[in-house]
Amino acid sequence: MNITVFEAKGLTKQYGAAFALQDINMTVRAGDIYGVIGENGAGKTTLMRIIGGLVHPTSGELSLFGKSNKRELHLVRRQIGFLIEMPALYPNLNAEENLTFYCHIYGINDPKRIPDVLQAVNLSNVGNKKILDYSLGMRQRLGLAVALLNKPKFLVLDEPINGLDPSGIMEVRKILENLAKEKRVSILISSHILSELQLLATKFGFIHKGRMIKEISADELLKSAEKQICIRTTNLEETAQILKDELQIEFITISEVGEIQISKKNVDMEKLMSVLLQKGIQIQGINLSTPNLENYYLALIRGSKS
Amino acid sequence: MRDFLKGQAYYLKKDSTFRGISFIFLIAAIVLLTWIGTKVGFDVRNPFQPLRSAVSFSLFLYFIIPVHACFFATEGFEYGTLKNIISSGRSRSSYFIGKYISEIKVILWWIFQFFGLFYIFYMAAALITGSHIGNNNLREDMIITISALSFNILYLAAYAAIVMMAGMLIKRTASAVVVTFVIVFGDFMLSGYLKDSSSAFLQTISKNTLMTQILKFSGGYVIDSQLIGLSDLSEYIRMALIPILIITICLIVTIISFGRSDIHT
Repeated sequence: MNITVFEAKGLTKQYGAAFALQDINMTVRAGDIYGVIGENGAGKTTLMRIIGGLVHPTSGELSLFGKSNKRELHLVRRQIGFLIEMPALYPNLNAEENLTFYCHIYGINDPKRIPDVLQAVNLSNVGNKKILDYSLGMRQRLGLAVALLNKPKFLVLDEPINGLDPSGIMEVRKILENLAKEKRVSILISSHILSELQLLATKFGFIHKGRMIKEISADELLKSAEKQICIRTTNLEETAQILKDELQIEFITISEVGEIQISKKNVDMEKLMSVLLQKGIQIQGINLSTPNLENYYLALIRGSKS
Repeated sequence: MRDFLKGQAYYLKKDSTFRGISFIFLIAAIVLLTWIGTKVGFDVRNPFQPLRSAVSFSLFLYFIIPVHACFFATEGFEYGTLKNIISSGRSRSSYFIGKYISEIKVILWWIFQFFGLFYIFYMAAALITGSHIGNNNLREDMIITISALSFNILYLAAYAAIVMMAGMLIKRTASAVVVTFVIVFGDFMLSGYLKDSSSAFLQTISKNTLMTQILKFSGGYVIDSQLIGLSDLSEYIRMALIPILIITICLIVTIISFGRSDIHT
């Protein structure tokens, strides 16, 4: 059975005349990794704050694990791990002391829990170093450890990979993938690193100016756009002209990063290669691009603006 | 609630402000002991007399403990731990009540530490120096001492309620500390400056300030060179009702306003 972990119906948050969120309808089911995408101020953090009970919605309904009344929401929130914006840590305490504080607050008595979560976020060997001396990435990871402390069934993570180095980003992705696959933990995650979000999420929600403008699954995203052939060469203009003349390709795009992009549809790769070689074009690289979340998002925003 | 109180106790144990103030009270107890000892010696009229002497210095507590209450009330906003605690399913009212109970425990600890250590050191000094330990005026000193210690707890709790209410409404430590100083010193100045005013209205204000009550029960309220203390039962009741009323109002206002507010730490 596919349990609904979080559901919003007409969720709205208004500050004076301005809408931080407007009529949001969305559902997160067990095992989903739901990526929330939107520019700064779109309403992603407000949505997460409402889920955490930090912000009261102006109108609309919110249910968590099927519960929607105030008292029940308080109870079910114990099964949720949050990391909203900056990690909430005491700078003068070390990692273990911070986690001990939260263990007391959450009523966790298992002595193994702290080493377990520290290991999960790869902070086992930090010793007595105070948070004050942590890098932003280390703080983010410890913030994630706090969110994992109560063995959550639902994780709400606002920009969890902020400030992480590439290996840190990969580690966090692995942790979250494991949690979702092995422990069926549902995850609601926001990030501006869309390429990373694309690798992780199974479902995407696009919020623009407080409105949910599109919800799409990862499969739908893949099907939504055609695959493209990307060619890197020193002579873009000449190559584009050859492709037009010799292969009768009408739609050729030259991207900002200096790549020629053409639709894979109706193009024979072997023929394309041989034509370019015959014409003496120096090919620096050629690859097949899959539909890109970044492009999808930009197209969506442009569409929404127009 | 028990888990939350355990968490707060753990935080306080690690908190440098709490440790620092505990150290200040330790030093203060030793300084007071040395000062009294060198001035009047360690003769003890009755076992309650050292404490009766010490409670007249109660005012000192009111310039330190409210500042701690302010820091303690706003630390959750400052470090963001409040958002994790609320989003873990704790209601805003139980968060604030838990914080307030923890601060009361801190007040009890510091009263015990300051007066308790002073008493132990004083009696030890009396025994070591071979000073006289008598049994005169025991009943009077006992009533004054016990009532002063009890009122100190009540009035510090009232100050904590006011300051913590301000902290929860303001949500920023720096601004809340400024307001705390204004409250504490403002009350002190209203009590002192308006006392000798020619206006009956201003005199009434002075008579009803918290600081005036504190000076009265701790034996420091003087008008026309006359020491004014607590005389009859109705005054004791009035003295107890003032902080209870303040605590009730502050807790209700904080719970309602904090319950309705959004948290943006």
